Amino acid sequence: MTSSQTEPVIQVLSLVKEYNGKRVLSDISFELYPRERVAIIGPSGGGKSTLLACMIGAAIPEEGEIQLLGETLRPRDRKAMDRLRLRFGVMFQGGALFSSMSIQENVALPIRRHSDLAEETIKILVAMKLNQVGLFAASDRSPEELSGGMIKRAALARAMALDPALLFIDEPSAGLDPIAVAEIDDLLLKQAETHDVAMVVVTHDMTSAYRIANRMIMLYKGRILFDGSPREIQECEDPVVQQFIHGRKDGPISFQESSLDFGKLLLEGE
Amino acid sequence: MVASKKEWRFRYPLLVEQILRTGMMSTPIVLLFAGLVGIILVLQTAFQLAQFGRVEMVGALVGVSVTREMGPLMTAIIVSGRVGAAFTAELGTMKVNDEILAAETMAIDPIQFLVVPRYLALILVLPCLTTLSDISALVFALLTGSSLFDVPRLTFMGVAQDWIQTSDILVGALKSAVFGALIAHICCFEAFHLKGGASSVGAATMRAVVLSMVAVLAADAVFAYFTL
Ligand SMILES: Nc1ncnc2c1ncn2[C@@H]1O[C@H](COP(=O)(O)OP(=O)(O)OP(=O)(O)O)[C@@H](O)[C@H]1O
Ligand SMILES: [Mg+2]
Repeated sequence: MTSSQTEPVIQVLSLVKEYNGKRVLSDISFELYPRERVAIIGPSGGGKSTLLACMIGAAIPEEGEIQLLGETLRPRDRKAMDRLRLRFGVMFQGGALFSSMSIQENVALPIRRHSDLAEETIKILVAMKLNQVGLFAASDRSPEELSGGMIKRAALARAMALDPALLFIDEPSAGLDPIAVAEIDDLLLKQAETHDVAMVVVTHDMTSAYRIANRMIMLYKGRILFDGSPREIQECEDPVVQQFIHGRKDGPISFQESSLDFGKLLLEGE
Repeated sequence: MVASKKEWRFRYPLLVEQILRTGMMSTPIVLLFAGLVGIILVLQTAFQLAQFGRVEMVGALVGVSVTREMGPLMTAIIVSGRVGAAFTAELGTMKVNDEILAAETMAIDPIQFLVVPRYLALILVLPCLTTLSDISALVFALLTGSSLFDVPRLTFMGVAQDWIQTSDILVGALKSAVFGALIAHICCFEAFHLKGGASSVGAATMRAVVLSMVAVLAADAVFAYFTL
């Protein structure tokens, strides 16, 4: 990437986030450039969701700074936040579609709210968006009538409704069968190419990560352990990275630290 | 602040939807409840009144107690259990499913989008429901009085008309609007401040219903004091 010529779409600077005094993210810094699709990977509890929450303004970090699309993120400033929110999309893990509305109403909602377009124009736009994710035939269905894969696709269409320059995606493969995962990965790639959108994908699924991403960031115990290309991560010799990307049971990543407490509990009989 | 045209296009259908939903959800149960109360009031009092030879006064008794007190109160209680519970359950589920966060990330203010329509709908609908419940109670009281206690229908209506005061009906409507605001406020608040998973939705719903019933009764006591 030619970092000197293009402006980064995301700049994270020395981010620190704590929950109840416990450091969940410490000293996270990275930059993301246009056309980059980064997979944020790492074992459970590593801080992936927390980092995502900070980047979309849903969690407020203790220290550090985040810039999105050239603007500093100020989660407490509603007006500034809303202006910025029009320029990025979020695809939630469970879809977070409004269950009282049909699929097409879900996709139409942000457009209707933020534009003066005529209803007919909105209708056509929504039909196009839904067609791109293969859901045109399901336009009038409610989210409850969709399969998991369809919900993710509808959520993608809604996240892309305002043609954002940046898309955040939480666990796109969670709860889907391998074929549905391949489908959603393919759609994400297509959206990235046709709409020139940079992506941040939080995922557990290495197969999916290799398919979507052209960059990998691995979080481990609240720190960035690895940042590089998919090829580099495979060549990385760090034992933690190796264990994670190959999904090995034995290695430096322990299963649960709380198992120690269980032993203690048994011994002390408390 | 004047809402722009695009904001109206966004808000108006939401309000209409909530009015229709709250209205349709509660009208049958409110009519049934009030009708039964009308019947009970007649059954409870007609016998005693007959002993004084004044059985035709049931019209006054039912008319006054329903318009002044029972109508607004029982309608609000039913609505907290029916509509208020639905508000908390629905919004609470949305909170748990990240739908409220999703609205925020689309720069859609969840208060404008989800709370304001429900608030306004309840403030508008509750007085109408109260009026309906007044009518239902009176109609069933009339039928009970005329069929079981031989009160001529015209007499019943005449007595009721003499005793029911327009001011009672107006105060009843005003009270209902205040009750509506209280119920909407408590039930939406509980949902928005819910923490945890699906199991906490049930607990929040129960708390919201109990709190709104208590709030309605307390507000009614305040009204009673100031309209002595
Ligand atoms: N709201 C919260 N309050 C307190 N602690 C939290 C909260 N959210 C996350 N944590 C803690 O922060 C740490 C990181 O959590 P996070 O959800 O970011 O991890 P993750 O990498 O997304 O894990 P997973 O892969 O399981 O989703 C965990 O130890 C978790 O217990
Ligand atoms: Mg997570």
